[in-house]
Amino acid sequence: MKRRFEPDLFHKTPPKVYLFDTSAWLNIKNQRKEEDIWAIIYRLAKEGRVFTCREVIGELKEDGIYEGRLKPIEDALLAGIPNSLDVDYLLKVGKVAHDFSAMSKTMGVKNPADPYIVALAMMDDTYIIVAEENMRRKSRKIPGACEKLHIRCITLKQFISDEK
Amino acid sequence: MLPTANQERQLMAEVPVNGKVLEWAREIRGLSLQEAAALLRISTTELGDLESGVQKPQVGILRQMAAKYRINFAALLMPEPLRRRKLPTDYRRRLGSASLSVDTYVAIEEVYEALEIFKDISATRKLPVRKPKLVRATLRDNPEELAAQERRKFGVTMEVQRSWKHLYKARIEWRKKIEERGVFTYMLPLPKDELSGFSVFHDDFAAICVNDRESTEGAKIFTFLHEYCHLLLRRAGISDEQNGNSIEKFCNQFAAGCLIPQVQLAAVVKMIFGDVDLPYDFSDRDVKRLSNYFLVSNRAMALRLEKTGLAPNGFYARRTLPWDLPAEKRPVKPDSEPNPVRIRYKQMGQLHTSTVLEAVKRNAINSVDAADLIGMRPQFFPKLEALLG
Repeated sequence: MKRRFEPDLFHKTPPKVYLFDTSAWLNIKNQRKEEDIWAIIYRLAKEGRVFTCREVIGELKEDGIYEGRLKPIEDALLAGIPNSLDVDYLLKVGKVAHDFSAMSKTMGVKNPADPYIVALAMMDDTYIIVAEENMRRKSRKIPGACEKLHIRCITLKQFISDEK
Repeated sequence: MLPTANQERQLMAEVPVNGKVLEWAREIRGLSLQEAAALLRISTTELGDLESGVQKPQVGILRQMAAKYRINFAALLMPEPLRRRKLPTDYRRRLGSASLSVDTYVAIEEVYEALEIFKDISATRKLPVRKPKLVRATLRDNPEELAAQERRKFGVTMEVQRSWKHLYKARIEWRKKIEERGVFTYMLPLPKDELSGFSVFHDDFAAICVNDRESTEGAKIFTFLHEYCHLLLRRAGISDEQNGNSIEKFCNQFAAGCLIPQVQLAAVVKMIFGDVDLPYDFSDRDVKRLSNYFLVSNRAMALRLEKTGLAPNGFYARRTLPWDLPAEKRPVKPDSEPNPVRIRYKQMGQLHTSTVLEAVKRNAINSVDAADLIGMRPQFFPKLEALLG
């Protein structure tokens, strides 16, 4: 997969690159400093440091957040993200759907975005997933899958504290 | 934007999926090779080649499969099939024991998934989802006594039952009584000649689904109570209320006993018809009068009269035979547009709807998950709130 962000040679540690899940996007409106968070996200999107996948955008099209906030930066958020014709990506999605079937709702009708987000992070280890989930039934949620796959996963609050 | 199925077909991207997974996906939806091939508009040979791995599918055909089998697209990409979910026992006999349709498999899967999510919601501790408090009955119990006991728990006396006035209202009230016991109830349009309903017990949560295509409100009421009895027996199943099976028979006796208590029926017969010689050959009009009194279907009443010895043996079969003639379809009034919010509310039930909406308010689930569970966009949530009162 093509890396969208090329770290500066003089940087000791490369800046973090984030992959936002649906739950994290939706949780922004519950935060006290919502506008500040959007300002951070817009800045990071410009720098090529915040991404999401098409399936997440698809889920959010039903919500006002898409028209109001995401549509203007949609191209930046999806830059370099493989689409549903990328066979390697699809097979990774299938592996996640198999190994985390409760999270992926594999036997159901709907096509949740969770396995697509996790598969992206499996393909590029620079990603840090931002997801806002209850941790009590971990096996059914992104953080549980990330823990098993050794993918870095943080909450929206941690993201804000790292990037403000 | 996601590429359209046509764009994907043009790009002809072949995906090296496991053919066994394609076979598994078809089978968990109860489709034969022929049925699936017809749905996909390809030959059985072609589908067989895809499932045996001789031919690799393009993304387009996989998308079509996901849509026609009504299964998550990601499922088709798995390296291996998953273990199949253990479905409720199939007790059907009356309507034949042919394979269930895709609609029914999907309905069962969706009810299981809803119960799983209610467990998730409960685990957040932001909203405790009530678990059902149901006695554990056995086939050695007397169904009449069990029915009387549950009727008392429901708080349904003859006065209460009579106050409902119409079958439609009676169906709403019986359903509400079952939900008050902590059982999620659904009314989904499933194939008419396939099943009356099904019940599910999953991780301490319970649900009943009634086929909304059953012919009358009375039949739906009967099914609600029949399935409720399956839950009491801890023998959830897929039913058509055929008496040939001991469990189905017990559940039928329970439902009839709950709706038409034997003592009250005898008293009402005496009150209306005086001291007639029993068993008595009630006319259609008599049966209708009695079913209106108890707010049940004419069929349930005819059967109950025979089973309690108030009507002669063979009364039910003889009386209901002419009723089996297909009824003429009523013309639909042009101004009676169905309200999609009301339809969805009826399908999902009060307990499911109120639990989901409350979970969103308390941030136990997000609006996207809630929209999935309700089957409506978040914009409609205020309208659902209004219906909940």
